[in-house]
Amino acid sequence: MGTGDVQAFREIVASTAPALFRLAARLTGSTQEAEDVLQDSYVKAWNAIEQDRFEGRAQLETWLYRIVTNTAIDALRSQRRRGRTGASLSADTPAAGQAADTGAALRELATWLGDLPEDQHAAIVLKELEGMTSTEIATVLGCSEGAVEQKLVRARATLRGRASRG
Amino acid sequence: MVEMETYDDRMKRLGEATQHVEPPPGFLTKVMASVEDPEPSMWDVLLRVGRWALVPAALTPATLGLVLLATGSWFDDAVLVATSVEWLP
Repeated sequence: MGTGDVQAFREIVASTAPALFRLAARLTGSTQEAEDVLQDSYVKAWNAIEQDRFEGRAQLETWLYRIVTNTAIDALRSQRRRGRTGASLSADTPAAGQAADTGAALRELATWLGDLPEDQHAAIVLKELEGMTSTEIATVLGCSEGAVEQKLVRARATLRGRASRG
Repeated sequence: MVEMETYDDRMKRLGEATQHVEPPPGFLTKVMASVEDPEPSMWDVLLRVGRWALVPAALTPATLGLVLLATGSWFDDAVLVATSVEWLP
């Protein structure tokens, strides 16, 4: 492991962490869970780079989005297996410097999207909150653009249906 | 009359409210520490334990062979057969 590699990776982490942390928090509904997800993701990314598994076909940032999204989906599955939904995340204390309103919004988001299948949940967050195009989402989720569109249509129908029912 | 919040309005409100979520102070240091000195994963631990479990497994056939040699049950017969072949010097 070269010192230069570590330094370069430190710069990557410093420049990407804010956006990726926000993504992980929006996906998991908790800043504490987001911290774990992001830390795991960076370790995975570092190991992949060390083992030459990052082939440079995707842009570095898109590749990191993919790792974080997959790790967050695993965390969501684990939360659901434990029966831990957005509502039960209320016990989480806000991270240092984190507004209580932000924590409440994250929990509301987790509760609102909590019944969607994980892939639809991820697609809707990437599209509506992160502002990604369907092409970018397809790269992140590792599926076709058509499949992304289908996930978005289904997720919106579920959420709109729920809103109309109150 | 209470107006229902539409899907678009709710998404916009939650998007704005979560726009400034930031990693906690010291996060970069924590990540770099785990990258430079990673904690062993469950697999690493299992592999380490498994490696040690292989030692007795590997030793058992070798030990058995040595015991058989020492007792000479089949070794003597093998030597007898080998030395009784006429073309051997």
